Amino acid sequence: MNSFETILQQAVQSFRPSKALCERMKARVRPLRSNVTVVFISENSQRILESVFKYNSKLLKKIKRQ
Amino acid sequence: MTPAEKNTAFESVYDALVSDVYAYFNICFGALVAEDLTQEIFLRVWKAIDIGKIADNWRAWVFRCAVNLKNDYLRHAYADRGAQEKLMQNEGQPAADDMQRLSVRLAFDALDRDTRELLTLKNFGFTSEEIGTLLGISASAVRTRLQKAKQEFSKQLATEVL
Repeated sequence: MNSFETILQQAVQSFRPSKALCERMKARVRPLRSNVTVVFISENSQRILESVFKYNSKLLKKIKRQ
Repeated sequence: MTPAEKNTAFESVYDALVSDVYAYFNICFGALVAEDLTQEIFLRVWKAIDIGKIADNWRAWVFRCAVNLKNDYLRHAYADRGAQEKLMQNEGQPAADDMQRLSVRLAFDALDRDTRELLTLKNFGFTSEEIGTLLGISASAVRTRLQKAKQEFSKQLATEVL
Protein backbone atom coordinates (compact mmCIF):
# COMPACT_ATOMS: atom_id res chain seq x y z
CA MET A 1 0.00 0.00 0.00
CA ASN A 2 1.51 3.35 -0.97
CA SER A 3 1.60 6.34 1.38
CA PHE A 4 -1.49 8.00 -0.14
CA GLU A 5 -3.55 4.86 0.40
CA THR A 6 -2.22 4.62 3.96
CA ILE A 7 -3.32 8.18 4.68
CA LEU A 8 -6.70 7.58 3.06
CA GLN A 9 -7.11 4.45 5.18
CA GLN A 10 -6.33 6.53 8.25
CA ALA A 11 -8.90 9.16 7.26
CA VAL A 12 -11.65 6.57 6.72
CA GLN A 13 -10.71 4.73 9.93
CA SER A 14 -11.69 7.76 12.02
CA PHE A 15 -15.27 7.43 10.77
CA ARG A 16 -15.73 3.81 11.79
CA PRO A 17 -18.05 2.85 14.66
CA SER A 18 -16.96 1.61 18.06
CA LYS A 19 -17.64 -2.03 18.96
CA ALA A 20 -20.22 -0.89 21.50
CA LEU A 21 -22.09 1.07 18.84
CA CYS A 22 -22.03 -1.91 16.48
CA GLU A 23 -23.56 -4.09 19.18
CA ARG A 24 -26.22 -1.48 19.97
CA MET A 25 -27.22 -1.19 16.32
CA LYS A 26 -27.32 -4.99 15.93
CA ALA A 27 -29.58 -5.28 18.97
CA ARG A 28 -32.06 -2.86 17.38
CA VAL A 29 -32.37 -4.87 14.16
CA ARG A 30 -34.51 -7.70 15.39
CA PRO A 31 -36.68 -10.14 13.44
CA LEU A 32 -40.24 -8.94 13.12
CA ARG A 33 -42.99 -11.49 13.47
CA SER A 34 -46.04 -9.33 13.06
CA ASN A 35 -47.50 -7.08 10.41
CA VAL A 36 -46.95 -4.00 12.52
CA THR A 37 -44.62 -1.47 10.95
CA VAL A 38 -41.90 -0.60 13.42
CA VAL A 39 -39.45 2.23 13.28
CA PHE A 40 -35.95 1.62 14.60
CA ILE A 41 -34.44 4.86 15.74
CA SER A 42 -31.21 6.07 17.24
CA GLU A 43 -31.09 7.54 20.73
CA ASN A 44 -30.80 11.03 19.30
CA SER A 45 -33.91 10.56 17.17
CA GLN A 46 -35.66 9.17 20.22
CA ARG A 47 -34.85 12.36 22.15
CA ILE A 48 -36.31 14.43 19.33
CA LEU A 49 -39.46 12.31 19.22
CA GLU A 50 -39.87 12.56 22.98
CA SER A 51 -40.04 16.32 22.73
CA VAL A 52 -42.46 16.14 19.78
CA PHE A 53 -44.71 13.43 21.19
CA LYS A 54 -44.40 14.33 24.84
CA TYR A 55 -48.17 14.22 25.29
CA ASN A 56 -48.58 10.90 23.45
CA SER A 57 -47.46 8.50 26.15
CA LYS A 58 -48.79 5.37 24.41
CA LEU A 59 -46.73 6.00 21.25
CA LEU A 60 -43.70 6.92 23.30
CA LYS A 61 -43.87 3.63 25.25
CA LYS A 62 -44.05 1.68 21.99
CA ILE A 63 -41.01 3.47 20.57
CA LYS A 64 -39.04 3.05 23.81
CA ARG A 65 -39.75 -0.70 23.78
CA GLN A 66 -37.96 -0.97 20.42
CA MET B 1 -33.72 -21.74 6.28
CA THR B 2 -34.43 -22.31 9.95
CA PRO B 3 -34.60 -19.28 12.25
CA ALA B 4 -31.17 -20.19 13.63
CA GLU B 5 -29.70 -20.37 10.11
CA LYS B 6 -31.26 -17.00 9.27
CA ASN B 7 -29.73 -15.48 12.41
CA THR B 8 -26.34 -16.93 11.54
CA ALA B 9 -26.55 -15.66 7.98
CA PHE B 10 -27.59 -12.20 9.17
CA GLU B 11 -24.83 -11.98 11.79
CA SER B 12 -22.26 -13.04 9.22
CA VAL B 13 -23.30 -10.27 6.82
CA TYR B 14 -23.67 -7.74 9.62
CA ASP B 15 -20.27 -8.40 11.20
CA ALA B 16 -18.55 -8.28 7.81
CA LEU B 17 -20.09 -5.03 6.62
CA VAL B 18 -21.37 -2.85 9.48
CA SER B 19 -18.15 -0.93 9.91
CA ASP B 20 -17.86 -0.05 6.22
CA VAL B 21 -21.55 0.86 5.91
CA TYR B 22 -21.49 3.06 9.01
CA ALA B 23 -18.25 4.75 7.91
CA TYR B 24 -19.78 5.40 4.49
CA PHE B 25 -22.85 7.15 5.96
CA ASN B 26 -20.76 8.92 8.58
CA ILE B 27 -18.52 10.32 5.88
CA CYS B 28 -21.55 11.47 3.87
CA PHE B 29 -23.76 12.84 6.66
CA GLY B 30 -22.17 12.62 10.11
CA ALA B 31 -22.52 10.18 13.01
CA LEU B 32 -26.08 11.00 14.06
CA VAL B 33 -27.58 10.24 10.65
CA ALA B 34 -25.16 7.36 10.04
CA GLU B 35 -26.60 5.38 12.93
CA ASP B 36 -30.17 5.61 11.63
CA LEU B 37 -29.24 4.85 8.03
CA THR B 38 -26.99 1.93 8.98
CA GLN B 39 -29.83 0.37 10.95
CA GLU B 40 -32.13 0.85 7.98
CA ILE B 41 -29.71 -0.97 5.68
CA PHE B 42 -29.36 -3.95 7.99
CA LEU B 43 -33.08 -4.07 8.54
CA ARG B 44 -33.32 -4.54 4.78
CA VAL B 45 -30.64 -7.23 4.94
CA TRP B 46 -32.62 -9.01 7.64
CA LYS B 47 -35.84 -8.81 5.62
CA ALA B 48 -34.04 -10.15 2.53
CA ILE B 49 -32.60 -13.09 4.45
CA ASP B 50 -35.96 -13.70 6.10
CA ILE B 51 -37.63 -14.21 2.72
CA GLY B 52 -34.87 -16.55 1.62
CA LYS B 53 -32.62 -14.29 -0.43
CA ILE B 54 -29.11 -15.64 -0.90
CA ALA B 55 -26.94 -13.00 -2.52
CA ASP B 56 -23.88 -13.98 -4.57
CA ASN B 57 -22.21 -10.85 -3.36
CA TRP B 58 -23.69 -9.33 -0.20
CA ARG B 59 -21.14 -6.54 -0.23
CA ALA B 60 -22.26 -5.29 -3.64
CA TRP B 61 -25.96 -5.72 -2.73
CA VAL B 62 -25.59 -3.86 0.56
CA PHE B 63 -23.69 -0.98 -0.99
CA ARG B 64 -26.21 -0.66 -3.83
CA CYS B 65 -28.83 -0.22 -1.10
CA ALA B 66 -26.57 2.19 0.78
CA VAL B 67 -25.95 4.42 -2.23
CA ASN B 68 -29.67 4.48 -3.05
CA LEU B 69 -30.49 5.32 0.55
CA LYS B 70 -27.88 8.06 0.53
CA ASN B 71 -29.47 9.56 -2.58
CA ASP B 72 -32.94 9.32 -1.04
CA TYR B 73 -31.71 11.03 2.09
CA LEU B 74 -30.04 13.80 0.09
CA ARG B 75 -33.34 14.53 -1.62
CA HIS B 76 -34.87 15.12 1.81
CA ALA B 77 -31.93 16.63 3.67
CA TYR B 78 -32.47 20.21 4.75
CA ALA B 79 -28.93 21.40 5.15
CA ASP B 80 -25.42 20.24 4.58
CA ARG B 81 -23.21 19.98 7.64
CA GLY B 82 -19.84 21.67 7.76
CA ALA B 83 -16.59 19.89 8.57
CA GLN B 84 -16.44 21.22 12.13
CA GLU B 85 -19.94 19.95 12.95
CA LYS B 86 -19.01 16.50 11.69
CA LEU B 87 -16.05 16.40 14.04
CA MET B 88 -18.23 17.39 16.97
CA GLN B 89 -20.95 14.86 16.19
CA ASN B 90 -18.84 11.75 16.68
CA GLU B 91 -19.98 10.73 20.16
CA GLY B 92 -18.64 7.32 21.04
CA GLN B 93 -16.12 7.44 18.19
CA PRO B 94 -12.45 6.96 18.80
CA ALA B 95 -11.03 10.48 19.18
CA ALA B 96 -8.29 11.80 16.93
CA ASP B 97 -5.65 11.27 19.55
CA ASP B 98 -2.77 12.95 17.85
CA MET B 99 -2.23 16.00 15.71
CA GLN B 100 -1.31 14.08 12.56
CA ARG B 101 -4.56 12.11 12.60
CA LEU B 102 -6.49 15.28 13.28
CA SER B 103 -4.86 16.95 10.29
CA VAL B 104 -5.74 14.00 8.06
CA ARG B 105 -9.30 14.06 9.34
CA LEU B 106 -9.64 17.81 8.80
CA ALA B 107 -8.23 17.51 5.28
CA PHE B 108 -10.68 14.73 4.48
CA ASP B 109 -13.61 16.66 5.95
CA ALA B 110 -12.72 19.67 3.82
CA LEU B 111 -13.48 17.71 0.65
CA ASP B 112 -16.98 17.87 -0.81
CA ARG B 113 -19.33 14.98 -0.18
CA ASP B 114 -19.03 13.40 -3.63
CA THR B 115 -15.24 13.39 -3.41
CA ARG B 116 -15.29 11.85 0.06
CA GLU B 117 -17.74 9.22 -1.13
CA LEU B 118 -15.59 8.30 -4.12
CA LEU B 119 -12.40 7.99 -2.10
CA THR B 120 -14.23 5.96 0.55
CA LEU B 121 -15.63 3.45 -1.92
CA LYS B 122 -12.18 3.09 -3.45
CA ASN B 123 -10.72 2.60 0.03
CA PHE B 124 -13.27 -0.16 0.69
CA GLY B 125 -11.79 -2.12 -2.22
CA PHE B 126 -14.39 -1.59 -4.92
CA THR B 127 -12.98 -1.50 -8.45
CA SER B 128 -13.64 1.43 -10.78
CA GLU B 129 -16.19 -0.71 -12.62
CA GLU B 130 -18.00 -1.58 -9.38
CA ILE B 131 -17.99 2.05 -8.24
CA GLY B 132 -19.34 3.05 -11.65
CA THR B 133 -22.20 0.58 -11.23
CA LEU B 134 -22.97 1.87 -7.75
CA LEU B 135 -22.93 5.53 -8.75
CA GLY B 136 -24.45 5.16 -12.22
CA ILE B 137 -21.40 6.44 -14.11
CA SER B 138 -18.86 4.84 -16.45
CA ALA B 139 -15.68 3.21 -15.16
CA SER B 140 -13.56 5.72 -17.06
CA ALA B 141 -15.48 8.59 -15.43
CA VAL B 142 -14.74 6.97 -12.06
CA ARG B 143 -11.02 6.80 -12.86
CA THR B 144 -10.97 10.46 -13.95
CA ARG B 145 -12.83 11.60 -10.86
CA LEU B 146 -10.62 9.48 -8.62
CA GLN B 147 -7.55 11.11 -10.05
CA LYS B 148 -9.01 14.56 -9.31
CA ALA B 149 -10.14 13.39 -5.87
CA LYS B 150 -6.64 12.24 -4.99
CA GLN B 151 -5.19 15.55 -6.14
CA GLU B 152 -7.74 17.49 -4.11
CA PHE B 153 -7.14 15.39 -0.99
CA SER B 154 -3.37 15.79 -1.37
CA LYS B 155 -3.84 19.55 -1.69
CA GLN B 156 -5.97 19.66 1.47
CA LEU B 157 -3.42 17.55 3.32
CA ALA B 158 -0.68 19.98 2.36
CA THR B 159 -2.65 22.88 3.86
CA GLU B 160 -3.60 20.97 7.04
CA VAL B 161 -0.18 19.55 7.96
CA LEU B 162 0.91 21.27 11.15
